Amino acid sequence: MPIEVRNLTHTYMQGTISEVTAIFDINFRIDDGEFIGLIGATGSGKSTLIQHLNGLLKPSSGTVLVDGVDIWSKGVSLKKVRQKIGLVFQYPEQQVFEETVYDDIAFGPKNLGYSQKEVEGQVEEACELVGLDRELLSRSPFELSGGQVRRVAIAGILAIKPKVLILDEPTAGLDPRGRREILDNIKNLHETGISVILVSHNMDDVARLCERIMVLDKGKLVADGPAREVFSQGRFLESIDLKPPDVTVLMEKLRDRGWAVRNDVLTVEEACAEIVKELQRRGVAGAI
Amino acid sequence: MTMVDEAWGLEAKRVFYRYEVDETHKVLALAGVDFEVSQGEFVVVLGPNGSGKSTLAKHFNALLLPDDGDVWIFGMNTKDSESTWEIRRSAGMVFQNPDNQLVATVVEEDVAFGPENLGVKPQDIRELVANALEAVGMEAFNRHAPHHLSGGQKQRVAIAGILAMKPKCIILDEPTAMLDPAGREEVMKTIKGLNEEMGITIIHITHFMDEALYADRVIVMNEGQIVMQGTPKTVFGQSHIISQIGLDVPPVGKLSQELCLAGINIDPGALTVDELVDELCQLKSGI
Repeated sequence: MPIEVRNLTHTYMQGTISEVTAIFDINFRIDDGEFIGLIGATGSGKSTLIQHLNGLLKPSSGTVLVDGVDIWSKGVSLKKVRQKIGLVFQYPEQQVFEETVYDDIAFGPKNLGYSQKEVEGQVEEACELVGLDRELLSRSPFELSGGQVRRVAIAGILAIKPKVLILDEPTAGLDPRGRREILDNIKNLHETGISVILVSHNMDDVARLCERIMVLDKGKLVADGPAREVFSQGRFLESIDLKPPDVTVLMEKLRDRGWAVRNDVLTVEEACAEIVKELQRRGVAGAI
Repeated sequence: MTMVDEAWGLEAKRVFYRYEVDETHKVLALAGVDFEVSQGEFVVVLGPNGSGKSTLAKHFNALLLPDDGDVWIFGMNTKDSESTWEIRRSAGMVFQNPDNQLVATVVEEDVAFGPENLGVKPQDIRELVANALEAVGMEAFNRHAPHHLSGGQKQRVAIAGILAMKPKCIILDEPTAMLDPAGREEVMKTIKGLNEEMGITIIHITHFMDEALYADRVIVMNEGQIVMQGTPKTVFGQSHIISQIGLDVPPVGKLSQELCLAGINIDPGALTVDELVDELCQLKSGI
């Protein structure tokens, strides 16, 4: 289920005095099974962009192609598009509304007209995928912890069996353990073959998980490439109000002081190995 | 009698607090917390969800009263209802969601809300509001509508609203949770400035481990108790306890510890990029 975006522009309140162009002439293609991190400062157009990918917003100009078909052309069912491309909004706990966790997760597949038996199966499978305890199914979603409600919301989308999963800041407001658990879930989901687009402000998480990074700045796609390449552009990222991962900044500063270390490390482990190697090369005391 | 006594600071003495879940079942949120904060300190409180951080914070503002034990704010007991307003004025509170805290349609009216309620004279209010907005770097926005501001700016206006009541202490309950990295830094630098320049006591609750690096002292809570406290260095140095209760050592701290484990002779407590760069650059070539 490849998604292709061509010359996509979106202007809110077009033709009025408060007209604002939120995204401008965006082009990219997402292939099956990719794991993409979408980053950009607040107001850079991330939310506007992702709402185009499943037809929640209509382009002011340009096209969104899913499986090669323009989703706004005649005869295309947007309902089917939304079933294939699932979108989990920010703070999904503000969107749970059913009396029980089961009903909340079952809402999507029920609406799509699946039989009761199929719905049950899909709820079951979705719970499994996000590691949600079945005992919680009969509880009210309002009794759950922050991390659990997030998982209910993600399960609700997974229950409609999307091929692409888009998550807008899925870990915002969670404690470190809750954050790790959700990210592990997402990683596992990706391994089952789903394409994932993760919108996040947490550069450490994005650097660790995503293979490809897309960077938005003031409505324009200003970088799109492998995580390693994008994050090695520390100064550029800072210039658009983003902060590269701390370990990347550290390597950059060591290079400024004459160290021959790579500036494209993404994790603590990589940084550690790289520093040890350089210390050995320098024959520094204390280095093994 | 209601009187602010700065020498006292804030103090929780063997505080117990239970939440009622339903008629039959209560949850112990605070299980005998002893905690003292001196005037002028910058304290960061860490802990997993449900560890009691917010419950404790609400005790410092008399929003909650202990079931058992006592909380003293600048010499006033929170159980003494006559002191409630003076406690809330001297220990103001900022919450997570900036949209739920701003009430007026113009920034300066929002900041004036507190002193107006305290019955301050209009001409004095003008000065209080101007000073408060200047202290958080928002004076240029005094005539703006709050809902057009960024998240970080909204939180700075919320902080100015507290400042206008001339508090001794500000308690912030996850004020950065909903902000982007630029907004987070904006808020953290603002409160650090208030602490350093105006001597305002700060109690900052957060899930972002890197924000603990701004603190003089870090308090770690778990299951309603304080399980660790000390400088950021001491606290994050005990990485086994940190990870056991589900928290994280910030990435640079983790890297310093890993380098030590790999036999590199540096301070395992280096927590910031600059500290670690200096540590590494001081290593002398030996062979």
